[in-house]
Amino acid sequence: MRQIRAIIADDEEALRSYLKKKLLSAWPELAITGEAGDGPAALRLIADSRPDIAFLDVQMPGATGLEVARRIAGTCAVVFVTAYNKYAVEAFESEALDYLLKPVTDERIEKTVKRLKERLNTPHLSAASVSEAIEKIAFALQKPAVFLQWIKAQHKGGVRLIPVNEICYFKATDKYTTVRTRDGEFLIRKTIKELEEELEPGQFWRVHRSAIVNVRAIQTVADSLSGSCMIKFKDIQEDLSVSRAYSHLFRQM
Amino acid sequence: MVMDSFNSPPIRFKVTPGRIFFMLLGNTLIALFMTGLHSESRFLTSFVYSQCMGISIATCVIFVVNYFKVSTLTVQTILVIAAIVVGIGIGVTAGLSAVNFIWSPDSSIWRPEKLKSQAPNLLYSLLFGAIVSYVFISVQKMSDEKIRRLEVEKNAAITEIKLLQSQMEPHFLFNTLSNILSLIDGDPRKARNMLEAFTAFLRASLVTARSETITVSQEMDVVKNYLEIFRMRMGDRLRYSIEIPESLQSLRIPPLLIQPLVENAVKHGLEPSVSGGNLLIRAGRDGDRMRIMVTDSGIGINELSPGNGIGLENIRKRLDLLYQGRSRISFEENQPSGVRVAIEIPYETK
Repeated sequence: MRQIRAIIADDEEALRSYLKKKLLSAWPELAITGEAGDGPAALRLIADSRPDIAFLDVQMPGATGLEVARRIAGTCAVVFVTAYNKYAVEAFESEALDYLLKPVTDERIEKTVKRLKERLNTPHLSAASVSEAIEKIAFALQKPAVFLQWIKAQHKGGVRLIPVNEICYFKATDKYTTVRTRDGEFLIRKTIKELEEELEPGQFWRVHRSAIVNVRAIQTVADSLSGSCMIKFKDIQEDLSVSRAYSHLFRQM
Repeated sequence: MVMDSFNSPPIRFKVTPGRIFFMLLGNTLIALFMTGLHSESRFLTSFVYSQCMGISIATCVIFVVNYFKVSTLTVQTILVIAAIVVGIGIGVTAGLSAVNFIWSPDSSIWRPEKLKSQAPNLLYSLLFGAIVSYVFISVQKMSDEKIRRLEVEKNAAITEIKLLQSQMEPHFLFNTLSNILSLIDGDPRKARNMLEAFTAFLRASLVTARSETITVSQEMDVVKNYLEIFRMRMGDRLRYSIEIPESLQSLRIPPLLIQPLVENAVKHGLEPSVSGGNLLIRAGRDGDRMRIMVTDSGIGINELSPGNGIGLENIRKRLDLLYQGRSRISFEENQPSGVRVAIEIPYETK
């Protein structure tokens, strides 16, 4: 029988050598043919040495273990190594993949080794089922942000980073858009229309042709005699008017 | 109790069936008292009169308390006195009309001698109105204060839990423990160093999270132990320096204010970077302001980087609670890469 070859990828050197030691005592015939300290290095190593098994730390610099697994899906068996708590670990329970919890215990290693031996004797799992399992984990661990979280604004020769939660409102001014926070006003180039598309619609409402408001920053909304309403904010003194076309948003509140 | 309430916030009445019952009961007691005082007056007359008076005063007071926006209890007290006077005016008119309507519908009450005889009644009404209003307002104020105190206590408890939770983040905990475990056989000295740093970090976190304020140097103990753990874990990928002048070391600040910023810099900036980077913690005084800056040269923030999950809201809330708007926190891009966070708080030597 040919020798089974494996690689270990983890950014922490001590953890790599510990896992290597544990693996070799549970599976003396296994050959660890390489180690990598970050995502890109792991990808290169796998491409070069074509191992049967890749032990991948989930959190690695450059590219996470998940990203590495995605790229190599189907080419070798993948075992994730992770320190995540038991709730997140549920996502790892799958037919197509294995995982080891940090700190790794002898018991757990033996179980994994047994499973790996069985797996390598049966025909390869389809790349599709592996990919599916990886996507499931990726979804549970790191739901990617789809809406803007930060606004970048030029300010005093530097670039100010503003968390969107701290913004009271956006308002269009001739060429730019004014971002109002309780610390002051900042100018950005993004238009109201672009912002409306990129911000989370549940939290940021268009209240005027030229304004978007953060509903979490609102203190009260008062009706005015003309049929429009005025928004008062928690943290800033000035008010913002809601045009009649949008005032229905605040009715029955 | 009245003295310390000059600047206390105004109260709001809740009109409940129980309170209406007490008001009616109070009116009845006053009627009984008045009947006892003037043997010639009948109880029923006093009863009707007293109810009119009581209801009218109560309505005016409740109206003033609940619908006039004022800033302090003092202003509200003045308004309440005015409301009592107006209430008495309406009450007298209503009461006399009612009594007159029931018992002598033919004669007019609006004769001078009849009105003159009301003078002592007016004084009594003013007295009772003031006493009853005072009792009601005091009771309301006490329950308001109790609610506020409970709120403050609840917030403090939640803050402590959140702080401790952030310190006991499972990923950090288990990674550190696995490191220690993996070093025990091969490099017991390093394992011991790491365990010591970890223990010191946990102890310092527990102590500081329970205090309202701590000194800058206490906070730095937490930060240094945290960074030591990461320096051992990340090796030469993490380089850090702390530049805080001696004069600022004993300054008191809210606990775990700087540590989460350091944690963010390591977790979101430096750890994900293949080549790692530098971390600089710097504090300085600018007149009556103190400025603390945490700068990293990590991978930086893009528009979709996590913004909510980095404990910012918690920091801001605690700053507001302690400095009431006199603090600032801002984020800036560092050159050529990474993030600079600056916190500005009043320089106070308490």
